[in-house]
Amino acid sequence: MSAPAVANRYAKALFELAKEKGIVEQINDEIQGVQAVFESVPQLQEVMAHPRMSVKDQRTLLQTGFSDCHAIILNTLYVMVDRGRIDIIAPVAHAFQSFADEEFQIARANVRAVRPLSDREKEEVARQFAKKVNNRQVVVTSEEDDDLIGGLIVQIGDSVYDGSVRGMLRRMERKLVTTNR
Amino acid sequence: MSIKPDEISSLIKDQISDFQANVEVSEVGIIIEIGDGIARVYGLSNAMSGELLEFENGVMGMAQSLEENNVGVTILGPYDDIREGEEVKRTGRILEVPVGEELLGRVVNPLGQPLDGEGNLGTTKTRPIESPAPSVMDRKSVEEPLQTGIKSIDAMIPIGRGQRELIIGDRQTGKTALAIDTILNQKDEDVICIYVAIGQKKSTVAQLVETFRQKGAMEYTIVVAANAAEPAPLLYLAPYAGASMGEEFMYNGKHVLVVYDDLTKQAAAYRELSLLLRRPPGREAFPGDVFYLHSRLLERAAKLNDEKGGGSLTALPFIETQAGDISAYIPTNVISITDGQIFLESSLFNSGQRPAVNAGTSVSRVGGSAQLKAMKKVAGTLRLDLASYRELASFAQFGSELDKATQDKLNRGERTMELLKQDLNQPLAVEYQVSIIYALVNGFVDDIPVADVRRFEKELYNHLQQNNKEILNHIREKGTLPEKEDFDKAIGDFKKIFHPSDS
Repeated sequence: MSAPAVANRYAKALFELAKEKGIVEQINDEIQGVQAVFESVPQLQEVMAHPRMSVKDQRTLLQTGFSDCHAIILNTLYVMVDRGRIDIIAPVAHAFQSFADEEFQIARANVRAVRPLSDREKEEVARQFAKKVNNRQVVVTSEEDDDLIGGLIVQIGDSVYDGSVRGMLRRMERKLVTTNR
Repeated sequence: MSIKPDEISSLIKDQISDFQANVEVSEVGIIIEIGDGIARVYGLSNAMSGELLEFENGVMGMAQSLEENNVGVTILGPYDDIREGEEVKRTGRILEVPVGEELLGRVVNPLGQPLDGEGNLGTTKTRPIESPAPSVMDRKSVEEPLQTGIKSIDAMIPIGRGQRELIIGDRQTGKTALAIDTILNQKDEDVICIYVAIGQKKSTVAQLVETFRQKGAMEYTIVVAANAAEPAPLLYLAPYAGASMGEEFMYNGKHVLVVYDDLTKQAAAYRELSLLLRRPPGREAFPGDVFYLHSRLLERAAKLNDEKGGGSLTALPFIETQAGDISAYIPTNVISITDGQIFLESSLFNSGQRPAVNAGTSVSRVGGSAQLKAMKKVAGTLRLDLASYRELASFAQFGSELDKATQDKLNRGERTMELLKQDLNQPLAVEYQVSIIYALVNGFVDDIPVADVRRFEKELYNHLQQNNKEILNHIREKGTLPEKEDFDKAIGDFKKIFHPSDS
């Protein structure tokens, strides 16, 4: 089975557990934190994957590293270590995020623009796009991208709203090229 | 086509004035894997099976297998500059091809883009490339003949409009030549022809188009070419594109002939992309739905009933066998789908019997009812006579003493074989075919030396054309045989002036 499919199952189990206990938000924050640690310290993944690391050593490492985390997070990590699946922590965190978003009716919008967006601009984007996603709460993250020349590209899930100058120029080019071929 | 500079300016002006409101909304996925003309795309969770997708460089793709967390996409064009991590956009459209009269005389690729360098097609209509076959109630049994202009086929294996007749044979047995002749013969028959070239060399296609052009056949012909250099998905789509273009005419009450040359290559292309999409391989590594691949294509051939306009789509699929092995997977499949098959044999071809049609094993299951009355009458016994001749001929090789009846049969058979020969690109109108076969079965040819038979044939046509036009017209217009006395007299007159060589 492919990694995203497996990750979905782990995330779902963890999410259901968290939901029963009513601590979805806390668990979400923590699993994102764990993911951030794994991402910022690439060596950690290497160490965990090393053949000389026994399962016991891996557990000890996780225990000391993430001792502040909630017990069910730690247990999840242990289960993943036991099954040799610790390498899919990133997709698990990602899948958990989408389960939590679904639960709280949150849509995540990633905005790309040539310059960083001010808070007011982010709010405006959130307000504008709330209509398009069934009035969910829109959480905006922004990214800088010099290639756009101007305008914005807003991505929510699989949908992309391309209002960038680069996109417009590209579309214009295609139109001019195709109509008179 | 001329482009005026101010047109461009005004176009750009329109674009710029629309600029503000123009925000493109699209659903995208990310390529996670690419190679061999196949991309796996993450995301696109709402993509439909068979939907067109657009890559960043403008190349189109088609969603083929929708899996739990990715979509397998076949790329319909050059894929060298598509990279992992790029976006793929949904278009919301199912693959369509341009259709209509404007396509006549053009050479296009399976996506309907012109390949002949003659500019825009100027079509206004499109049709989806896959569409359901006409239903049972919309159909009618095949009743009009499709004249191929080839004596051996029109006489013994007649093809009707709306029929699916398989043409099968090894490489180099004249399969394509058969198709070319058939298309050339539709010149005055009011049949629109579509030639679908699948996986052929560009030079071959160019040569074929040139032949059509010289003989004036291009006016009513569309050539759909997916050449050998094209990626497999285009080869796979080509027959469907051809069928869609033909359907448009059929539903408008016209008669269409579609030649698929050849489906073996299409099946191979489909196998290639199925394996790359990781579908489980079955017999000869073809995927499980390779039967459906051909059955749904050939089911689109039909003769419509009068309420639907009475149009027809005749399909001539080609299958190339390896060393005459018709029990391979694809040949058996297609034989079972079609309404008959024409076997071409390399042994016949090499012995000079061209077209190399094996009349014994070739059949047409529905064409008989569509055959012209006159032809049916004269050619009725031809098949049986030929079969018994072949049997006798293999016997007679060993014996020398033969009774007269046997000797006569052998003589007749020898001349029949000679008369079934036909030169390349020389399709023959049905009235001439009827007259020569009439002459043959009524014994007018029996005393002509074998070496002179073909000259006799040619001169008989000339004679009839000049002196007995009314006989030819009668056959052509009424479809029945003229009075026996008139016919016999005409041929008898000609025999008096025909001089056999060195006798």
